[in-house]
Amino acid sequence: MRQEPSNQIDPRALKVWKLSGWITSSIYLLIAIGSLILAILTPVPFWVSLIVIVCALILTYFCVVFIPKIRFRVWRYEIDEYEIELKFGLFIIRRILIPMVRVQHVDTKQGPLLRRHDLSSVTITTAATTHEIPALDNETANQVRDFISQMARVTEDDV
Amino acid sequence: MMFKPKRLHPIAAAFSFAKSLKEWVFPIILYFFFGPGDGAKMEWLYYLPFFFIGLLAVYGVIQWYRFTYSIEDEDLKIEQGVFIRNKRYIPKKRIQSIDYSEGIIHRLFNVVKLNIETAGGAGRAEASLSAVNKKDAHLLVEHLRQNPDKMANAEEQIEKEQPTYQFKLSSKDLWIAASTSGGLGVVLSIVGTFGSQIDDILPDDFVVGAVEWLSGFSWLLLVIMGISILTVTWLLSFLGVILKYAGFSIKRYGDRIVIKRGLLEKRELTLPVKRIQGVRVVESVIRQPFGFATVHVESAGGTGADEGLSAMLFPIIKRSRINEELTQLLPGYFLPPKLNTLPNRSLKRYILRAILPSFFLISLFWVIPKLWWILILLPVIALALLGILQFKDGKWAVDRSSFYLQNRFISRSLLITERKRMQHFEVKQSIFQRRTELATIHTTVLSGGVGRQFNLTDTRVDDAKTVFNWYSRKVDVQQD
Repeated sequence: MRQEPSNQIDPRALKVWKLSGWITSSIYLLIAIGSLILAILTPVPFWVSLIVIVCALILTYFCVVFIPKIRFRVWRYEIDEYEIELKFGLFIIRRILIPMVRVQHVDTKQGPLLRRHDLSSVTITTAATTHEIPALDNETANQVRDFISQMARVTEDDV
Repeated sequence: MMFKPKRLHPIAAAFSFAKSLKEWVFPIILYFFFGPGDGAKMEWLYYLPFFFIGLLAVYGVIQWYRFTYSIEDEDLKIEQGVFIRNKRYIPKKRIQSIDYSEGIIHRLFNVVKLNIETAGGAGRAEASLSAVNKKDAHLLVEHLRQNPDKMANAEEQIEKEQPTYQFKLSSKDLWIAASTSGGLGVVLSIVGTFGSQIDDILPDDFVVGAVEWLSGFSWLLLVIMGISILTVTWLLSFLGVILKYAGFSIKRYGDRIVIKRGLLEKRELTLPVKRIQGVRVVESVIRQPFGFATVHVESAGGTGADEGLSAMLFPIIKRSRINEELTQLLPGYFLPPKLNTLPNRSLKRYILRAILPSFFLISLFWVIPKLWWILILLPVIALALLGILQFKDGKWAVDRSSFYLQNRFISRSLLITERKRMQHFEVKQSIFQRRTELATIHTTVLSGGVGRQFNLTDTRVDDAKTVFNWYSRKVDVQQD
């Protein structure tokens, strides 16, 4: 395959993913605390709680540090007048090519976490599939959206 | 061209009555069972369901009365609704396909059902005329087909009479299709799931009792019972195919394909060639050794309900004859002369993946007596063989405008699609694949309003790159 797609997503994505990682792992941590309480108050052996706590810590590390880091490092995209190319993944690296003629519509979206950092995600929809570029700063996202919608309009073809 | 508002055939009232009765049948049965209680004074309450059913019948008649269709200028206009009136205008130009179907009742009254489809709206028909007498139906379809731009074009009219290509399923082929129908597996799985549900329905003692009762029989008897169950399911799927594909014919008129089929319920499906997204050649394990295959078509839009999704072009055909027929029916679609294979190093991964589900069986090794090992090893060996077949049949090719991807789950299936029909293309690589320089290629083709996914696992990375570059528009530009 010719070179990798060139653009990285916004580095603030890392912060957003870390935060949402904390939110998910808060559940694991709560379970860990629960197991500790259980070990103190009931005859449940202490080592059971220890295992639970270690698991919870590992999961938390994965959610908060490891996964966001890898995801960010891998994410690349490139858009020109003919096609959109995406590359992302964690354990499975995916490289996707979407021709402009196939694009049906394109949206920008902003959840509460993204909004705090002035980020948006861009969703590209074809007749059969949906693809997302997860975190671009608002202005880039708007540019990308407008560019794709213009290009998609120019190239008319059969479904 | 005008077309005065018309009602459907009165039998439509009975159809809509039957439909609403079907929706209410459970509440009504419940009412009969649990009833209004024993209050003797309230005798009339017992008649309430009958009164209600009467009401539904009247409602059906009003629905029929209120439903009219007409052609106004360039639109098909449909008025309907009892409490809420609804007028729908469907522009002629937007109509993608019109299909007929006739059930047994339809044929008694010499009427047909018309489904009119536009693009979009996955699955449900845009307009459905439940009973139109045949003469009116033909008239209506003639009117709808007349594209205003082409009204004066006399050639178009002649084309309508003379198909440029036609194929009829011979009765010998129908018998072959029926007796080798893969429906066997489907029926088996239905029996299987039903069997697993029985547990919940029947009292516990019954199952235990039944097992005891069964173990009372000799092995021979059990084998005979097994064989007869298989025979019955085979007969059922045999009949199913005969009913569905008797009288199958496919004709091409200009830019559309008309498929007719059915014994009791006759169906006619019209597919615009423009909307065809790809062709799939499927060879089931039963048919492949005899050199037979079925050819399906993937089409955008159309009746998602049961057929438009992937209608059958050839319910059964000798693989060696496919190119001869297919290139006449759909020029540009053919079995490629040569497909590229997978590298030998993927074989290991294919076998491993295939036997993975049986690992839990292997864990039973420690538990069971030694002689029974054979019984466990058999499925593992069978799955490993399937894995080898999957590896051998995993193939791909590209030519100037088309992409070919063959793979096997159980049946062998070959996708033929044009580059411009592929919704996207993807190369996936897991960390394990990276080590051995393998990758998975993936594409999606539109099929009845939704995407159908196609994968080929463990190709060479270089091959994946080749297809990726072939799919990319950038290369085109450089070449120009």
